[in-house]
Amino acid sequence: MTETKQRNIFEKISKEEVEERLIEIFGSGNVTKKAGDLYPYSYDMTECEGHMPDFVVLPENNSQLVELVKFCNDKSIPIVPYISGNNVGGLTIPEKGGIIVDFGKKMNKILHIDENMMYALLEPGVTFGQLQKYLEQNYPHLRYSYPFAPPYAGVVGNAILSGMNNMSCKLGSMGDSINGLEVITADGSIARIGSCFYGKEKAANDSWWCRYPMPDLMGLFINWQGMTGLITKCAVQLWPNHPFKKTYLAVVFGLSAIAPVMREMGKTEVIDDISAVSTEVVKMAVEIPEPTKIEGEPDFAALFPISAKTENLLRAKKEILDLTIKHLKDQGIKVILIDVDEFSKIFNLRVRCYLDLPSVVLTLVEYSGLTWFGSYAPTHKLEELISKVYPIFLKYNVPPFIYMKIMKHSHYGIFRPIIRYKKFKDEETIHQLLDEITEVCINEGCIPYKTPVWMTEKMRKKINPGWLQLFDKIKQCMDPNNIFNPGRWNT
Amino acid sequence: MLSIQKGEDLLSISLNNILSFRKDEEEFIDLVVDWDKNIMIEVLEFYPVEVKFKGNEITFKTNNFDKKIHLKVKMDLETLLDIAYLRINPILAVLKGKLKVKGLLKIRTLFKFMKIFLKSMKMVAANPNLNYYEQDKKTR
Amino acid sequence: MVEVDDSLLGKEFLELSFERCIKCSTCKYGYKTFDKICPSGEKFLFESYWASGRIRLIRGLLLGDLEWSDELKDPIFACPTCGACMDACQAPHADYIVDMIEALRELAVRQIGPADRQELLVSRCEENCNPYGEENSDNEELKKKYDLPDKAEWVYFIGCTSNYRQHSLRDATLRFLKKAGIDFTLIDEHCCTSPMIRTGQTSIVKDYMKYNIAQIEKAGASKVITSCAGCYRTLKRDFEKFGEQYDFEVFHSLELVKQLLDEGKIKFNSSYDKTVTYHDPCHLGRHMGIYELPREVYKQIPGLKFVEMRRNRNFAWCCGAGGGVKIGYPDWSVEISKERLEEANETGATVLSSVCPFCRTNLSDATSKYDFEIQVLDLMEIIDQLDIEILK
Repeated sequence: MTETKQRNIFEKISKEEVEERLIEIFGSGNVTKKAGDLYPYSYDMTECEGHMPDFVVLPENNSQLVELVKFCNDKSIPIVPYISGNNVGGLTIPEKGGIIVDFGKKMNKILHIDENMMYALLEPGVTFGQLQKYLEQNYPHLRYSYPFAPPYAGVVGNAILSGMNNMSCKLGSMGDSINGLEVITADGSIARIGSCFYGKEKAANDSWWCRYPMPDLMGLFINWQGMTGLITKCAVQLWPNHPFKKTYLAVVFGLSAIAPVMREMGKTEVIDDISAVSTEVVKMAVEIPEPTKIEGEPDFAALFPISAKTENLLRAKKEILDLTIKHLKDQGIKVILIDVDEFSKIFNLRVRCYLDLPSVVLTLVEYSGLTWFGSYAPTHKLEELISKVYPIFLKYNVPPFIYMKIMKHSHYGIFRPIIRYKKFKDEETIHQLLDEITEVCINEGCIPYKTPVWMTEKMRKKINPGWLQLFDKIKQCMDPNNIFNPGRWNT
Repeated sequence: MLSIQKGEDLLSISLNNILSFRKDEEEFIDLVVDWDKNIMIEVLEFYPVEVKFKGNEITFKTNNFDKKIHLKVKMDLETLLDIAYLRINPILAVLKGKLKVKGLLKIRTLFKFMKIFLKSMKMVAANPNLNYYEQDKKTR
Repeated sequence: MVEVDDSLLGKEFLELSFERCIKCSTCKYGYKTFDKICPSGEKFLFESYWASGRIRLIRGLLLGDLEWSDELKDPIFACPTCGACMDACQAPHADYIVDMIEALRELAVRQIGPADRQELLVSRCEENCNPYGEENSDNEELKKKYDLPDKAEWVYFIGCTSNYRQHSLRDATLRFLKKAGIDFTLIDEHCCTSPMIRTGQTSIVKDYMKYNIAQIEKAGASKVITSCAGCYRTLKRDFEKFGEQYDFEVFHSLELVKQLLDEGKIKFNSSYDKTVTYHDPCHLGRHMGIYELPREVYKQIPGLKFVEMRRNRNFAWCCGAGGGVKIGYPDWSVEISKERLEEANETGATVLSSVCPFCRTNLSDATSKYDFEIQVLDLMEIIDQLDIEILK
């Protein structure tokens, strides 16, 4: 691990003075500069190069953060937001050193659940598991949408980075389900965005009900990876938790045949979520860490959870699924649709980890490293993406782990080749593999989310100059001293 | 003590799951140990799997099958699930042509196979437990 | 790949830290309950104080990214090794997390020494064969008092905490064994070595293990019984881990009680009319998988109303004594117990019972320090108050 690079933070002010100021703001128990405490924050599960922060702080409230931002802006000290470091993209690695703001430990309260307008007002440190438990215990008629990720990933981080969850076939990107944000900008001002913008001092808890129709400032913070300000509150939409639920599994034979299955099923508008994995991934779930596929095995499996207010409606939705499957079979696609509860008992209950989200999916936590090319993808390109990416995995002797989703009833998709690996042994090879996949996918029009810096470097070569100029202008305007997560998107 | 191969293809994994359910049950052990038979199970959309019962070991093969196969059973996935979940009786499945058995005249082998495999499959299906995470820890 | 010193007993666990753990944070909270489970993480909060953070410290130290300094002592040693992280983690290395932390401590002891005052555990043993520094008892007096032979089928391995701190627990067990007609004896014990293993101070461990095995063999015993969860775990698991073989079986006293009840050899003839809640000792519960057995015994005690704490069985909140925390971080240790007592109070129980003298010690210390009214008693102490009929 190297010392702070490329920016001498302690030119304007000494490290001791910074520490003193941080202790004044947060209290001594909430500030650390000990190497042993900093080290776990310095790298993540991906291949992204690590970098030590200079301090980690544990904020408890907004006023501390306002003081911090003003101080850091004045002294050009980087600030990097952190919840649990579960993003697969190096987003919390302090590229230029500075101060990591760990929201996960103290700013993790569920502030308000609004039953009428169905939203949850959250501090940034709230995790999926925490929210799920809270809703189950107190508001069982409401539900949130959960990702293919461990329970301790942050809800707010997932939403503001356009995560995709287990209702995304219906809802699309989680970024679309944000009703409001409270942010701290570089000059230390607090701004509320969305319907909560009324009220000079504080917004009432029941005012966070909509993002529109004022000029949409939310876009200044969504997908910006913390580069434009600190988010201190986020209101996310909730949905009715229908009493009748069922998940079906489609088993598809033929490498690219999964693509039309997913697209057509998405267009039925009756499915909550569509996610598909290569067969190797099904085997990984049952503790076969380096699986291969044999002849005769299906190539992909896809999950289709459906839910309804009444049993009749559930049956009707199933009827539509059956008709769609029949239609696909008539077109020569070899696909079988089965009840996943029935299948999982016969096959192996461990595959249920893909159902009971948020859950710890063995597949993801198998080794010491995890990385991916997680991207939004044009659904008409899925066949091509699969057929080009699958052999790249095989070329590197890595079991193909392809994860795909259909978003918003087939308006767009997610294409996510995932790689689990032994971080201290195979990193170089895996980086090469990922690099090759990235090249192929970006050329097919995929847009990675939660992008590591090396990936955005590639993207910049393809992005139109107008966008890049606008991006730079906004970043410069929002963060003139480049204190907010500097280095992201090659800033 | 029975030893059941883990299996690395989808069907062998399922067979391991089904047969392991009763691996500590005395009745099951008595049925299986020293049965010394090779049973071919083919789930139509998939591929054939040979289940080899030898001594106290149960192993699975998806190629290089033994020359001597004592019983061949063929069905599609839907029928397999229908039998497991009691939506169709195996005899009726045979009569309707949904379950094809080669070696039908080897009544003893057939009945024993039904006791070993079909009964286990139904028991697995009837088990209400859906909690996978309670299965793997040494100290749970 | 990093070269790990062959002479380290925990070498394989240090190497494991490079192959596993993506720091998904599942180790931090109860699996599926999302409850607080990690005493050190909840207290100190920074990532280095949770299991996944400690695994990163192993990597950093072995890779040379981190330099050894006294500042590392707290993240390394401020952990009761309760194993809640092992229970929560769902990754393949889950069952080895405590081993990894102990291996880190073994490495740390060589470089920077143990946490404050933990070195006393070894120095006291070197003088008196027990970590309390009490004059070693060869247990001959107790043998005389209870008229025990030199050789017997069973050896009651008292353990240092019972023998030097929790006499009432020791004596209750002795009386029970006598009453139940068990053919047992006592040996001249050295510490089972649990405190040393948990704090990475392994210099005397193998010698002590060999000594204890020899004493048990000298007594001709084929069975060893202990009323301490820590000794139980050490005898059953750590001896093997350290390569020490033996031919006897090891039982916890509650296993014997249960067996005698099941076989109809004893019967409780009086009642214990109190509301009792049970604290799962980490070394019996999470470390050895024994949760139901004690509950089955409590439920057979007439008059006893058994209630569960909210966090029970594998989700139980640690008492805070283990892992060298009692001696290294005494104030925090009792603070951890306080949280457990608050949970016990919520049940309405008047008695908090367990089957570990170290839990008993720390929970009792916390009741005194924080003025809790709940009584802390071991199961054997409760049984000692009952009329026991010996049946043929």
